[in-house]
Amino acid sequence: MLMQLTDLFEVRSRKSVGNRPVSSLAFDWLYTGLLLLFTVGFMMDVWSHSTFGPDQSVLSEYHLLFYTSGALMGALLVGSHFRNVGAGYRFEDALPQGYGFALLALLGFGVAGAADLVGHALWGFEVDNEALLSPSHLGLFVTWGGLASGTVMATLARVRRQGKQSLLRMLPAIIGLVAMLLPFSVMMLISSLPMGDFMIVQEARIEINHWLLESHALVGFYVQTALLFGFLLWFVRNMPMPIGAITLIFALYGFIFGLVSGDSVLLGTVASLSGFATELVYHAVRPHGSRRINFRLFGFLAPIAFWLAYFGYIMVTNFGGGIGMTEYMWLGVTFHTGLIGFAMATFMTLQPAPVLALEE
Amino acid sequence: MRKLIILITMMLIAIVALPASAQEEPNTNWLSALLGEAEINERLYYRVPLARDYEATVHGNRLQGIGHLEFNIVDSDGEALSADNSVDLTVTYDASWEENGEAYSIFQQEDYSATYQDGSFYIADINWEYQGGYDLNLNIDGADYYLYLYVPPAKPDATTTFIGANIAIPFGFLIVMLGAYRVFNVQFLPENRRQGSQAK
Repeated sequence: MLMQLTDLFEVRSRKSVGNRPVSSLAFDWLYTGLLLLFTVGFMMDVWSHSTFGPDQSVLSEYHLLFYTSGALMGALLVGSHFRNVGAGYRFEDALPQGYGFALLALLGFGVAGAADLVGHALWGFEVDNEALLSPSHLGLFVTWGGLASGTVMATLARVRRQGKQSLLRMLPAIIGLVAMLLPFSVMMLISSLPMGDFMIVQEARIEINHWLLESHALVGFYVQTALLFGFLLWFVRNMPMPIGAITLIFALYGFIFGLVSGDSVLLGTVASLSGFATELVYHAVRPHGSRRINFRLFGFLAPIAFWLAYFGYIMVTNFGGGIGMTEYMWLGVTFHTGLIGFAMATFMTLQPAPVLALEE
Repeated sequence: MRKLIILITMMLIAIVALPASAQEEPNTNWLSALLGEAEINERLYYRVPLARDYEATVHGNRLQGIGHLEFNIVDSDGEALSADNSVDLTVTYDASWEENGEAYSIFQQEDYSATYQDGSFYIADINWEYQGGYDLNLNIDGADYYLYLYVPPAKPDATTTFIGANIAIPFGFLIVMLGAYRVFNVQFLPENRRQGSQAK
C-alpha cells in the first residue's frame, strides 16, 4: 500500500511512469481555474496582513477563498482518481502526470492549515516578518508551490508527447508557473519586486543608514534574479516557448504580485516591459533543445535585459524620484544578475558525472 | 455526473446559508463563534527610526481608535530603562495629504502620563483615532526619547455577501465549467484511457 501511495504521489522515479494518463487540456483548465482563484485569495490575504495587520479569525474572507478553492482542487483530483480507476487504470497510475504530486501537496497544505489554526489559537498571530517565517506558514508556502506544479508537469508531459504547444494550450502551464513562483516570492517579500513599501530600489534612496540599506537593496536584486530566472530557465529548457509566453509569464506575475501592495497595474506594466525584453533575448538566442551554449548565453543575457528594462522604466518615468544609485551601482548589479543567470544555466546543462567516478 | 452537480449545489446552498442565518451583523467572526473565541494578543505595528540609539518594543490592543499602549525601551548598551514612577509624554499625529486636488491636514497633540510597572511603561486609554504614524516624545531621567508608532488602518468588516462570494466563486466556477463540458460534450478525462498495458 505504501509503495502504491508513493507511486501515486510521484515521489519516486519509476520506469513505468509512461503508464499514467496524459492530462487533457479540459482537465487542466478545471484545475487551473481553481488554482488561479486559490492564488488570488492567498495574495489578497497577504495584502490584508500587510495593510491591516493580523486577522482576528483564521477563517477570514480571503482564507475562505483559497481554502475553498484548495478543497475543490482536492475533490477534483480525488474524484478523477477514482473515476480513472473505474475506467481501467491501476490505483498508482490513475492520476495524470503531475497531479499525483499536486495531490500530495494539497494534503500537505491541509495539514499545514490545521497546524496554522492551532498555532494561532495557542500563540497568537504572527506580526511583520514572523508571518513569512513561522513554521506553519512555511508549510503553507511550500505546499502551495507544490500544488501549483500540477498543470506545469501535465503540460510538460503533453509537450513531450505532442511537441511544441500554442500559447493558448500553454496557458495552464504559464498560470501554474506563476502560481509556483508566487509563494517563494512571498517568502522573500523583504527583498521583492513590488513598487510600494517593498520596492528594492526604494531602499537605496534612504539617507539614514544608507550603506546598510543600499547593500540590502543590492541583495534584493540577486534574490529576485535567482528566484525568477531559476524557475524560468527550467521552464524554457524543458518547453519551447510560443511567441508571447515569456511576456505573459512576467505580466501575470507582476499583476498578481502587485495585489500585495495595491500596485497591480503599475507592477504589471513594469513586469510586462521587463518580460518583453527577456522575450526578445529568447527569440534572438533560441536557447531550446540541445543548444547548451545558447541556453547558457540566454541565462546570462535574460536577467540583464530584464533589469535594464526595469531600470529604464524608472529612469524614463522618474518613478519615486529615479533609480537613486550611481551608474556604477545599477549597471554593476545588472551585470551581477547576468552572472547569476549564467551560473544557473551552466549548472542545469552540466553533463552528469560518470557513474564509475562517483562509485570510487 | 448529475448526482455530483446536485451534491455540490446542496453544499453551496448550505455553506452560503449558514453565515447568513447565523449572524445578524455582518462580520468575519461567525465561524470563530462556532469554534470558540480564542484570546488574541494583537500587537501594534511599530517602526523605530534606525538612526536612534535605542530599541523599543511596543504592544497593546487597539479597539475602535482607543486602546492601551505598553512599551519597553532598551538603550544602546542593552540596558532596559526604568522610572521611579510615572513619566509624562506627548503624542503627536501630524499628517497632510491631497485627495481629488484638495489639500487636507490633521494635527493632533495630546499629553499622557505613562506609568511604570513590572518593567514596562503603560498608557491607558490612548487615542489612536487615525491610521498612520504617531510620534511619542518622552523624558526619562532628564534624557529625551522618541518613539515612532505606525497604527495600521482598521480592517473593515466583511459583509456576509462578500464572505459568501469567496466561498461561492470557486464552486460556481467548477459548476459552470462542468456544465459547459457536459453541454458541449467535452471529454475531460485522460485522453488515452483504456489504451496500452495500463488498462485492466
